[in-house]
Amino acid sequence: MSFTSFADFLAMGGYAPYVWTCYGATLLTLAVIVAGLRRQKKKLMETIRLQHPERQAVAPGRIVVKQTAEDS
Amino acid sequence: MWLWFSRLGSPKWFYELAGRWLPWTWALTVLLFVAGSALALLFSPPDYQQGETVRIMYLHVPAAFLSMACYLTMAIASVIALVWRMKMAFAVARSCAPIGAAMTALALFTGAVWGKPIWGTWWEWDARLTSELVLLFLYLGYIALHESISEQSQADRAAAVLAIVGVVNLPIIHFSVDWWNTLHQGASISRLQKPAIDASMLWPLFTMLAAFFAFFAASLMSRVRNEILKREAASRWVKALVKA
Repeated sequence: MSFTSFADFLAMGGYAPYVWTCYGATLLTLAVIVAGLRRQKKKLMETIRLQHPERQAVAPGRIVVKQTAEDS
Repeated sequence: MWLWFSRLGSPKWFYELAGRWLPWTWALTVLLFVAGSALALLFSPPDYQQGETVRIMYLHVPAAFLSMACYLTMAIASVIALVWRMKMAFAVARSCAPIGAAMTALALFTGAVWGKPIWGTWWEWDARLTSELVLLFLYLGYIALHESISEQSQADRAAAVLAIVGVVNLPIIHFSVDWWNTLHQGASISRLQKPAIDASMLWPLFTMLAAFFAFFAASLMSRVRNEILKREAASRWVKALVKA
């Protein structure tokens, strides 16, 4: 262990603003990437779902496009 | 080998395989980041010249390393895609760009914040810093070019050519500290020599490098899966998947 107290740890030998800014920036960068991936996936799923409204076969050979809330 | 290659070209196969691997890769990423941060912040010693600011190294070096490794991945995927007309490789190349751009920005930012207390300046137009900035513009240029062409295969090919041409920047970044006089220090770790840093700093650095690479693997796989969904939106299996 390189620090003797928690206050010591936070102070980073007087370089606290620099060290903690970098660790914060890294965390933020990783979080932004992950959030972007999740948002992109959600949007894609929605778009694809809207492109292909649910189909339901009611009788052999007949296909009926079911009306969804987005269609009307 | 060829079977493996042609399977790798199958979007559905990749989507499912990556889906099985992803939870483990993300778990490994978290584990390595927790261990790496503890080593970097608590258990590694302060530097005799730089004091506690040396702890920025454990972020700056992996971010910079990954910014280049990601570009190399993007360029190799582009070559494979163009030569063997492999659609999946285009998806991989396109997926590398945003991750690489973020890592390059992070490397530049942490470098600037580290430079202020140690060099006395946030920024200097020297070779290493400038060529890394050019790398950021290459990533942004790739993304902008890809987005500006609406036809998918044309966008893929044009952007792939840009990615391949941009590879000349990688050796410039790497050797810039040897070729020109620069504020930036030379390499501390090299394959040919004993590392110039002590084991007490080397291990935290290796752990953080592994953490960044695990993150790269996980985020790239996720991004490629999204890219597959986008590109294969009309295929039967994607439709079935979305409805489920």
